[in-house]
Amino acid sequence: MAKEHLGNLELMVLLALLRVRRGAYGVPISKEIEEQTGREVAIGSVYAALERLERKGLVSSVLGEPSRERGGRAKRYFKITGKGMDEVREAQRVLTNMWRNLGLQGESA
Amino acid sequence: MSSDRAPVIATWLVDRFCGDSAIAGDLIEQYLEGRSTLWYWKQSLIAIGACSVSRVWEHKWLAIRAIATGWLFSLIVIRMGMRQIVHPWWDAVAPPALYPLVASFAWLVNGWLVGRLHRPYSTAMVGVYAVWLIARNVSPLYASAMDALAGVEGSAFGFELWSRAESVLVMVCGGVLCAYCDQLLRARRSRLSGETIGHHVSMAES
Repeated sequence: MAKEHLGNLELMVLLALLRVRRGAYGVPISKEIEEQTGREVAIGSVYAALERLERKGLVSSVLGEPSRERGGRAKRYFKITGKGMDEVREAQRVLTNMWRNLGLQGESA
Repeated sequence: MSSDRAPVIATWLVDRFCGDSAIAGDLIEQYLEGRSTLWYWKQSLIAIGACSVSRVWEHKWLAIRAIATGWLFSLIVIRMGMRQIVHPWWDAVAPPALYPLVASFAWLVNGWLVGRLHRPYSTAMVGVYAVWLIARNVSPLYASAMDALAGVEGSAFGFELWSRAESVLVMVCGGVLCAYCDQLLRARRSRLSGETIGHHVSMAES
């Protein structure tokens, strides 16, 4: 099977999912990315990434109950799958290898 | 500035174009937490763009088919059928001033058909067809603008621009209408089948 390629946002979304753990839906996921990166991320972009990840089988989702505070709309809860965990570990391994011996620690841009 | 009710049009568009009500729900939730109307509109437009691009990218062949379907319809029904058969007949039996309404209806049907044949990605496929139509209109509009600037007699840039923009807009309305009806139908079917989603939240929260 061909290896999945994870984009930057896709990897960030997977890591945010791991950090948020339970009850992870669009709002906490995008807030987590914003907190960690210091950049605003559009909810629409997060959902587009989540949709791609779901299609690749790296995350799964279930719909919650509609609530009045959300205009009668349900939350979609996301969870990382076993295949998704494997992809995160693989991305970590590859990135660590790429950074090793570059001597960039403490350097300013 | 924000109020206690999220912008209705933006929400409606997100629901139609994204097909997942959870996205609009997240936006409403954040809006009620104090985000501005401008923020809401910006996020809604980004969501619509991201959803549409993502769908078109994932279904490239479907996008090509949508363009081909729309183009064939416009060629056979609108250009040949309407202009050569319906228009002369209409002018003979009804007020010619009303013909643009009939032509607009044909564009509405064009959008509806593209949406109908490309479910469940109706809006994204209608969007890609609209982009193609706009791209096709650039060259004749440019020529018309040049004629108008050069003062060529009989040039009607304003009319050209209006009629082409109107046909694209009406076509998009047809597609969005199709997606809306489809969504209503699905909601009714899911209510009828007694599908309950309540147990999912307990699964997610456990």
